[in-house]
Amino acid sequence: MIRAETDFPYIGARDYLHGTSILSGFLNLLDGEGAIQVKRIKFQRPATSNGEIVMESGSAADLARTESNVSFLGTAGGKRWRGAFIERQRPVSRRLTLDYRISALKAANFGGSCHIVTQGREDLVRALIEANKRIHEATLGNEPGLMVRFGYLEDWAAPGPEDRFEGELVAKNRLTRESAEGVMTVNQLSYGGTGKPPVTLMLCFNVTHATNPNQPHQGSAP
Amino acid sequence: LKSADITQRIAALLREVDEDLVLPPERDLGGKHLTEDLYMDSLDVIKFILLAEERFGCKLPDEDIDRLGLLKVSNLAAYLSDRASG
Repeated sequence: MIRAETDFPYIGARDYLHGTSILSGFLNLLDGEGAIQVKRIKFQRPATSNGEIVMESGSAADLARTESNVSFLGTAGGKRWRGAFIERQRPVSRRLTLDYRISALKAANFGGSCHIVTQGREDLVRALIEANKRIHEATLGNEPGLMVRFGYLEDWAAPGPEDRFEGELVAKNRLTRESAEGVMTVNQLSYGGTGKPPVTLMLCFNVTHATNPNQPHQGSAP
Repeated sequence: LKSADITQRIAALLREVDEDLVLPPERDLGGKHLTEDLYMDSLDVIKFILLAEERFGCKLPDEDIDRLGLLKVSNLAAYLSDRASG
């Protein structure tokens, strides 16, 4: 079992932990175990404080699901890993301002494309989520007060921590479901360099109206 | 497609969405509602809808889900038995 205290920052003006920080936290703990395939990371409850990541390997791995903010399922080096992030009211001591290199964005009906430049895996994770968020915002006309939340990410062959990427990202909308609370979407993202097969992943986002966009809404973060 | 066969396939899809989901025996599954009885959250429900559309080759429009109560397994099985191509 791996158990690690977290030191996640706040990003921008947010007063909750960004899902991309938590995803990178899981991936960083699996570095050295072999190629990482994310089967599913699911954001069940927003977290405003730091806590711990717990990971177990093997088919019998069973973590307490009810208390976790985020659940993780994946493989590393062919071995199965389950994980959970649980906030423990440990303070967040840092705040980061990020500079996303996202350009030439086109969007329609929650799908679209853009050009991204990233300097490593954590940067790529943040760019993928930010690009999909901007596609959602552009589809909805950049309406003020929209809260775009990261629900889950699935089926992604994560790169190495230092792998850089520059190229086109394409988001295809696979499902949109409207409810009284807002809109939920599932997009398939693909990106790839020249001469390489594209890397794909699935992203589920939830768009609602927030009274304070810096605060997490009920459900998942961010 | 027979409704019983579809219920069996729905059970398999539910396990694919969440392998920890506790399902009743298939003979009792028809009466269960995905959120009210099986306690699936909205993220798992949208994942299930996506998978069901792919595997059964049939769209599940929001209005039908709401109007026909397709989050209840028996209603969904009946709906798919009329429309599924996969």
